[in-house]
Amino acid sequence: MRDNVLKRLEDTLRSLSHSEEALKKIREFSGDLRDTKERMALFNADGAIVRSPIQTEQTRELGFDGEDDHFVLLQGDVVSTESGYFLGERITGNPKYVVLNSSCDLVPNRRKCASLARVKEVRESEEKTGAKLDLLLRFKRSDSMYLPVLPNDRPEVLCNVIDFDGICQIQSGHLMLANRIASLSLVGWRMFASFSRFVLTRANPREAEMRQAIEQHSGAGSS
Amino acid sequence: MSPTIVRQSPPQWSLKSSTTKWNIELTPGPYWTSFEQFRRGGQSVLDEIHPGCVGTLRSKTATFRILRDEDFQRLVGLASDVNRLKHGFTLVLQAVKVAHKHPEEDTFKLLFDSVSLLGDSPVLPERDGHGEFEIDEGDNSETDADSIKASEVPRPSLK
Repeated sequence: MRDNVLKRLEDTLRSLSHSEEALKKIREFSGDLRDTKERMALFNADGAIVRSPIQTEQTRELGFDGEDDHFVLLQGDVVSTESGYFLGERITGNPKYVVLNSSCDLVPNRRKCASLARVKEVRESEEKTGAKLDLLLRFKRSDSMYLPVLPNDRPEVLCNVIDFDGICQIQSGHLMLANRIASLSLVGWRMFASFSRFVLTRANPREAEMRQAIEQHSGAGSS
Repeated sequence: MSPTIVRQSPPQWSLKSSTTKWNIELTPGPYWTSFEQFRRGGQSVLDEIHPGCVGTLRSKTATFRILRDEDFQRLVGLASDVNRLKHGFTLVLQAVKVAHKHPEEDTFKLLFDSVSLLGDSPVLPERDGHGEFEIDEGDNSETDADSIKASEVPRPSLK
């Protein structure tokens, strides 16, 4: 009885929990655009992926004024802080990050720590900038999401990259004091979630087969 | 039998680990004796607050310090490191108390070890920035964008 119920749950989750569909759709969408310049024009447009930081006053005016609607930061916000740590080292030099935590965890005094994804810059002086832009704007690397150059970035910056390879940590109290540079637009937020979910839950199809086999084997062994 | 080649895996920490080169050397900047005086000055008075400089606004109710965000973030970052150091010193203090109360070989060893922990690392590790975004040989990319200059890239204004 218990095994049947859990099997039904597993059947239901199979196409949902480790799905790569969202990332595939993003790649297909970008692949249909003509070239790098066209992709850049679309994704760099004002409000396309990034927008000015969403303020709680703005959302309150639109009727989101309940107790749970108040926020200081939102998931996907681009911030700058010198209080983030990566592998035990504090990152200095005015580094940028994107907030990984769900917005509901970013309320003051709710969580002690928060997770950040590093934002790297691609600069004109680097090698292979054309290849990098092509790679990023077609979203071909699952650990790197394209982010447009931001208004206060230095003149030599071509674009930004959200790096999902390695997560940084910060105390929530310090994160609340970070400089909010931008929020993600609705579609930018959905793209960001597609990447984060893929990075955290990606699975080789063989793994599902392997787990199924080991459970069947264990079941046969115990009966 | 061919000699075994021992491959050393790269360190997990940054090779650029350093300690901060930034000292808390904030210098006094503009001083306003009322909010009205500050307001009348407009944007130009804020431009007088250069990096490393602190403006002071004295209102009827309180005194406010105004500084650039980059300086503020550095101060908050240093404060978080100070917190880390405080934990280290707490450990040493506890070891001192235990050694004082129970002057035995084991407690002195504990004290010695805890002091050594701090002594081995008199500075806290930092790294400057996130480094470069790199692509691998295996990344299948075309190079139709080689001619794009940063000055030609459209920047969202975020207004």
